[in-house]
Amino acid sequence: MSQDLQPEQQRQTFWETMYAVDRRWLYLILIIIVSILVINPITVPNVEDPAAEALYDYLSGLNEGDFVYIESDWTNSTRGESRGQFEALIRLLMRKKVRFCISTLGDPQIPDIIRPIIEGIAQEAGSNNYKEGTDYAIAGYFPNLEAHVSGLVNNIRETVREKRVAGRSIVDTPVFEGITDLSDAKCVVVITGSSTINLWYERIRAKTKLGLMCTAVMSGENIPYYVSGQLVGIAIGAKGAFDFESLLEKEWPADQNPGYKNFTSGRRYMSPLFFALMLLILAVVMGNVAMYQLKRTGRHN
Amino acid sequence: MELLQIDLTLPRTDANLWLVIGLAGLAMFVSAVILFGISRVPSNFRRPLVGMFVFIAGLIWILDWALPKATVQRASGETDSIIPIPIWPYEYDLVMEKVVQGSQVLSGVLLALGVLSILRVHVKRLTKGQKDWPFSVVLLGSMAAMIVIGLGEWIANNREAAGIPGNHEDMKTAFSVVFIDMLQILDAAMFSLIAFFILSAAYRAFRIRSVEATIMMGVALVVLLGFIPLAMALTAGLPTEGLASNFRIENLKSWILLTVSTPALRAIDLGLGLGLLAMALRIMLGLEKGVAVD
Amino acid sequence: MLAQSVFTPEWWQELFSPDGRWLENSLLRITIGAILTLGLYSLLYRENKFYRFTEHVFVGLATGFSVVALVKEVLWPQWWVPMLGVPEREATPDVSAVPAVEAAWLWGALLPVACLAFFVFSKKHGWLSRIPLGIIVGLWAGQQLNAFQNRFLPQVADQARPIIPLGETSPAMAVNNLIVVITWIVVLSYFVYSFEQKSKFLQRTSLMGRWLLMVGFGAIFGTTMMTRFVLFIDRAYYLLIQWLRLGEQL
Repeated sequence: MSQDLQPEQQRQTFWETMYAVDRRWLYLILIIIVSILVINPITVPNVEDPAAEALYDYLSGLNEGDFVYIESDWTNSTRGESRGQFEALIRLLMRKKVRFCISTLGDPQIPDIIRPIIEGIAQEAGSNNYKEGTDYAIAGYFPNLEAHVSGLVNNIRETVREKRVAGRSIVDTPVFEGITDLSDAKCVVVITGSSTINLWYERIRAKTKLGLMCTAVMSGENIPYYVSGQLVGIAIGAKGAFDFESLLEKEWPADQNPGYKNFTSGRRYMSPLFFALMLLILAVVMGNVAMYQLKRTGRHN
Repeated sequence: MELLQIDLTLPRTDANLWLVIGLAGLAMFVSAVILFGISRVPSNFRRPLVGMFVFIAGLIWILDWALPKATVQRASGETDSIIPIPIWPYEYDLVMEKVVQGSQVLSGVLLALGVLSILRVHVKRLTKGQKDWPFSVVLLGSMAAMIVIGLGEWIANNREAAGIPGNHEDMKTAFSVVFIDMLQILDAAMFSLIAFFILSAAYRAFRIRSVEATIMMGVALVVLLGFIPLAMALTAGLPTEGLASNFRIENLKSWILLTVSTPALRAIDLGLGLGLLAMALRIMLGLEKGVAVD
Repeated sequence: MLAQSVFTPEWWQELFSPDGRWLENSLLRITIGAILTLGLYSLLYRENKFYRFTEHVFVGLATGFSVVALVKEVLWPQWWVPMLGVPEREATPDVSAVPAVEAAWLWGALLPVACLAFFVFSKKHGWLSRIPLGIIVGLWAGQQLNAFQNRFLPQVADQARPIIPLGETSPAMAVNNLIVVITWIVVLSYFVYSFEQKSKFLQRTSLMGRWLLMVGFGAIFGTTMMTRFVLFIDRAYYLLIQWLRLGEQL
């Protein structure tokens, strides 16, 4: 700053510039911050959210051989949040030897996206060599949410009977042994980026527990259902994925369990998210200070 | 209890294919004739007629809600003591199954209507050589490509499942390119753009001028920070037990979400629920404008 | 910098790898997606032809996909197959058995009803399109009773909280419960429009209700921002790590 200008004048020009700054500079800063931290993430410790912990603890407390039904309907459009949640959930169930069946809604390609993820996790240390058709089943894609949820609640075996693994209907595999009704499942976990969960609230009968892993944007409308006990727990967004990952790490510390993979995108996305949000907060503050300064000097229209 | 059942299905064998097609065609024809008759009704009967369709459709679900559900024998050996009610000539659950199925087909065709309108706009732009017509070519081209490849993959899958030899892999690969590598990626990119617009709006539009705006910003800030582990470090010095622990940012966030935001949103929810219920009732009784009435 | 990154010749060799069919080259496929992503992102700089092109590709693909989904997820399995049935097929070494589906030919009657929707373009017979639409709306309306009972009523029931610190209810819980109950009532009172709020008390609670509502909106707003930023971070991961390979993959 040069000495020959009046201090008052200097400040005015500065705030005027700030007030009228091109939004593209903001975009550029955001892109730079996120790029640096995506390439070189900072690892941070976690404090788990109680609602996510409630879901984790419930699932982690299940016995070997218990059955969980998963309704997964995330696609690439919410991959940032949902994939980390999905991976952590599958890891937990496999380590606990809990049987599970997954059906998908939303897009017919989801089974093709999730199958390799599940098979990859099954190969990891601690995953008990999970096999499709023995320990888990993929019931595949169901086009009609309405009919699917009603069908599962009314008659789970008939609803998924058509889906086959190695020529056998999945309900004839060990995965469905002893499962005649949805209430035989210890929990229905819904992983979603859309409002498919609403239909579950409406249709599920009180005997079956319901868990939710959703995007952060959905948390506001769904936390009330956790408070009222309609949900056993709720994992929210990338933080929910990170919560599950940290809880996996607590239960199976990687240094004592060689080969265990506990962390994926949940932790990876935390540091870029933090700095991006810091930028956002800074933007709000700067915008307000600039307005205040201009108002004070009477230059704001 | 054996009720009189009218079986409207035929066992399907290779031999009776034409019989089935004939009967289905007859059903279509009869239905079309009835609808033609309906289209001729005097104009003052039109409104009650549509209203009747609406009311009956609604009644089906209300009966489903009101009627007891079928007995369920559970793995644990416990039986739910609810009585199944057979509704002539089917059990009601079976009726509901068909209703849901039929409503899918109807809404599917309504969706096709939307596609048709997009098509009309762009074909018109193209044939009249209006401004930006090359983009309409792009749109129609990618639409056609998706339809051809999408249906091609579906047929390839069916043929493979039926054991028909041939090269099925190419179509599947092509479909995963247009679907996973293009459509889904575009979808994700489109949604992520909003991050930038929020940032820009935060800078330009979030002016703290009123109590309301201040409360909203303050809460948004606490909630944001409460979800970010790095931000929790700000208050990590506070004890985890006792009164002071309430001011740890993650606890503050949880408290706001569970104790203040939840009942506030529930109040909106209740209003919404009651509103939906009232609207449903108005629709069924033919009082709501735009459905059966103008 | 990783060995396989865009700055190494290996990356470029892989991109234009002559062995294998080109659609099976995963790097090439990611490159297609990445270019489309950049096309959409170019809007951030300014409105331009590249963006318009990508946008139209997007709308075209999405519309096309809804047609595909309509045929293969709805019309075929929910209408055509049930109507004409499927003959039984024995299992062979290559193919699994297909159970017979009986032909419910009466489904044929549904098609003309559904097609009435297309009369929406007709001035004279436009009203006929209200029949299929009315059926769908009526079905929706009928479901609302069920929805209200299962979805909204438990919420109301949960509002009945113990606010007197006795037995299992600790004083802190009682205070929290009191806040929950008051917030709910106050926000509800904000929505009382049906009569003029003349009383000072109602005006006060209504103002407080508006403030508490802002708490709810603030929470929603905060979480919305998180989702959008994570989506962008995920796209950055896709572009920088999966495509350009500038860092370690997950």
